Amino acid sequence: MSLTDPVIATSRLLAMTISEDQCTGNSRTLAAERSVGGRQTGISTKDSSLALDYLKLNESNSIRVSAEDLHKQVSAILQGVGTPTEHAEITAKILVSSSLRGVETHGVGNAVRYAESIESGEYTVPQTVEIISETESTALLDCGNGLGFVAAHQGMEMSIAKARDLGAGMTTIRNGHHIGMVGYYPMMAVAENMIGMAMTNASRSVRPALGARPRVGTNPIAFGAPAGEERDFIFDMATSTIASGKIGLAKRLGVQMPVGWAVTAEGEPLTEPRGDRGEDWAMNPLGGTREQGAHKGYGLGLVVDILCGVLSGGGFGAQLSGGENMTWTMAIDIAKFRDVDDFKSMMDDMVRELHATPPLPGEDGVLVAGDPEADFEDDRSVNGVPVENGQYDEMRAKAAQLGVEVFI
Amino acid sequence: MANKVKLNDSNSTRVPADDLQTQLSAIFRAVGTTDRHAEIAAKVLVAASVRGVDTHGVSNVVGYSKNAEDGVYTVPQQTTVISESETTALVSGGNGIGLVSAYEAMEMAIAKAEKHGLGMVSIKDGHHVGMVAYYASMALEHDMIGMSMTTAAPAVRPALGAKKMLGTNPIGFAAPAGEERDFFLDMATSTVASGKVGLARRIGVPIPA
Repeated sequence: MSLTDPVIATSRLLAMTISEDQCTGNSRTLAAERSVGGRQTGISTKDSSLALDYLKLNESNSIRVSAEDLHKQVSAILQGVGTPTEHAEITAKILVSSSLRGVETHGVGNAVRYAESIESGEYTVPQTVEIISETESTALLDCGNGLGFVAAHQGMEMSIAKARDLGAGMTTIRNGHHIGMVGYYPMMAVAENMIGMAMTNASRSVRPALGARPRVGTNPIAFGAPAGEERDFIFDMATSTIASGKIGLAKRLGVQMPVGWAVTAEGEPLTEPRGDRGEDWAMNPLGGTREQGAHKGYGLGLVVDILCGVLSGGGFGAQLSGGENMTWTMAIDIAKFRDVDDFKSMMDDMVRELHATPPLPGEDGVLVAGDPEADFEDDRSVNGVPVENGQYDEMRAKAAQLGVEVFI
Repeated sequence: MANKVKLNDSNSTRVPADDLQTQLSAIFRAVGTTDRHAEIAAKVLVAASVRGVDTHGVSNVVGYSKNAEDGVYTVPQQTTVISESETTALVSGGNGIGLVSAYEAMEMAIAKAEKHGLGMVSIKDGHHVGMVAYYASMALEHDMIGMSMTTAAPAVRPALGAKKMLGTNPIGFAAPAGEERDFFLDMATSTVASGKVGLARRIGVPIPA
């Protein structure tokens, strides 16, 4: 299917919506909850990935650039607006990693937006990350209103150092901004033979279970654990049904959203992607309906708010403005529990056992968290990273405007 | 559907929590647990019943004590440390009652957090721990955030998979509030807790698609 054919895309989605309505059999009060009640039928989930396929980059909508050149370009743009070299390098590394792993919504295309936030003074750059309080195993950091990446990276480095000394380490960060792909930070711990975990909160966009207004952020959770011969377990999920970047993507591509992603304030399913935040619509918490466990996505969203926003004092979702994000990181040193090779060997067993699960009819096979991203990385680290045409032009134009070298 | 399983005047008898504690503790002691362990196991089960989590409440004393009698559980039991750092520990639950090992592990985690900022304990050779968030909530009276998880035998399919491979593997999390009630989350990572499926079967209603 052509990604540039929204007519086909819309009709496929419409077909899916109808079939969902047909298998709905519950009697909840919210109309939207009724209409998504049959979303997981247990028969096949293939159709529900269709909307995500529209966004895939290909030869006609993107240009392949080497990861090294992208790194240089992103770093140059950030330095061009006054970011210290070290901070620009950290941010570039994380953005390029997202693009390498196929997480385009959090990738290099955002560099220009961060640069603009710095130019407008929304971000304070150069920033000073300050340690507000600290114990052997914990720390509260202040991001200094600067790049979220820089403080989150330092927070995870501190967590890892503390874990190496005492077994486990944890940091929470206030006064921060967007940290990009939250799954990057656990990967830092995995590289040190540790279990890593990171969360970040965001301004209100998701409704509480049973609620009809947005009050919680998409509040993602990421977790990583090293395997031996198999790929590492790298899990990165929003606590909403879908990451908000996917809604922006649907809007850019002019396609409808599947029923279940969002609702109006009246509880009706919202399928027209919105580019704004308002009180008249909200994303659904993971689970979607009461019967399908919406209270769980909502509950996990609040766990993220507590660890990132309340523990740090930076604020919970409903208190934050768009672009404000508080972050939490943790590292656990496996060797303090048992032999690392034994741990990894059991991880291998687990991954193999899950890959061997018979798939649902119509599915190719069972995946483990991190599989699709690792596939992207294998390809892109060799063949280059596809950059969406518009974003490619935008980055070059920004570099030219700032008078820094154009690398891509 | 969940409303059909609520306890009411015709299908249940009200008993003071204190009497339930005394009764359960007596049953645990009678099958060989120590006094302290009997009190702990009873306390966790009564807390679940008081909080309305009937699937994990006092009625489970029958199954647990039978397991102790049959030798499925080893009682009296001992929680032993296999490895330890300032903030972490790996312990063996000694094949005993899971409620007791989890309780003692959370006591260790709290002690480590008091001293070093945080504490974390992983337990092997364990059994059913009842309402998992009970242990997270033990942190509250120390003005701490608590978290607890437990695994179980396969009941849940992986995404895209068609065979049971995972347990319902619940997560418990608790954080203290001031004038409002404490935050207390206890959730299976499956769509629904397995106890609810059993409940639907007992009362003869279909489960939602």
